[in-house]
Amino acid sequence: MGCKTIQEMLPAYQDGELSQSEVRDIEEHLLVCDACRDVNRELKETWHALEIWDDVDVPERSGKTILSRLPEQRRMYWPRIVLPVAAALVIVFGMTLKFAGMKNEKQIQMPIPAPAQLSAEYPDVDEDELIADLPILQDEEFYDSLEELVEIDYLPLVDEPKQKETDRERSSLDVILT
Amino acid sequence: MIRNVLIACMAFFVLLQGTHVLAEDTKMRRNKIIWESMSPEEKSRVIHNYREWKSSPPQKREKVRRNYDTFSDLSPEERLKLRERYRNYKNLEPAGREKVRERLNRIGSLPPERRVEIEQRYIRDRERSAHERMKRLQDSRFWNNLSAEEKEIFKKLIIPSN
Repeated sequence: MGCKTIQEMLPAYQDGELSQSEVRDIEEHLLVCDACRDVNRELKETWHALEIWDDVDVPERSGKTILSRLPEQRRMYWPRIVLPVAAALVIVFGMTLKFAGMKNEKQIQMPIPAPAQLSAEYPDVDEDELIADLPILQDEEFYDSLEELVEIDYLPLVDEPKQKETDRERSSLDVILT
Repeated sequence: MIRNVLIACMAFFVLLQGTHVLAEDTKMRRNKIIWESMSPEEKSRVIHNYREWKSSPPQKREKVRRNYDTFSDLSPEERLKLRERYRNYKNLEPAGREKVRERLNRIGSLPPERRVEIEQRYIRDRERSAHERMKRLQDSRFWNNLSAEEKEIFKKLIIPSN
């Protein structure tokens, strides 16, 4: 057995967990090997040092305090992991969307099936612009008059004096209060 | 903690950008499909509109874009109501349309603060039922000042589904 194997077996040797033949092999090796003997001595001293310490009972109050803090620690621990992971996932998702969008944008900028005909027939028409504003162009008159169409609803309110509204509010407040 | 907040903010910003690009992309794709499926007549009508649009003053274009955005933000019911109102308005005789315009001029000449107040009151009124709004309309001074013919016009325009 080489020094490395012997040194790995030393803790078990000191605990008396080895077979007689293994013990004999180790003891023969320790007689001739200074390095392993030193390791064995240091290990023995360490165990001895640990043995001379008295076991101290933890006061009940301290134990409770430590245990009561455990869930809190756990709560503080999770956000530390979850938040950066969630943020990283969101970044990856966002970047994917952005690159997908850029890719599609490039595809859109590519000519549509019959672009040559359109630009030849209508050289003043920017097809991309036309497609972007298509809903407006299809229905321009409607959107042009939308503001007025909404304002028709204001007409009955124009003649209503401001005071009347306040009175109504006050009377409903009175009803609530009484 | 600050580092986490910064990472979260950055992530939110990137996500927002990504969503915006995706929404734009979806819009363009949808428009492209509509455009490609149009008949030659419809296409030439749109091209005609495009030329008029391009030659119109920037203020008008700005107003139309703003109105388009306003319309896009409305609820489906409100959109439907406005579409119906538009159809009623379009089908009016020129004289009837002129009458509506005359009445609408009153709103245009209102001082800004009064206009804001009316807008706010209108937003509150929007929650009322059609029946309640109709009653309020018929009780208003505006209604009493209308001729029978005008009443018919405004009844259709103010509460189209009635």
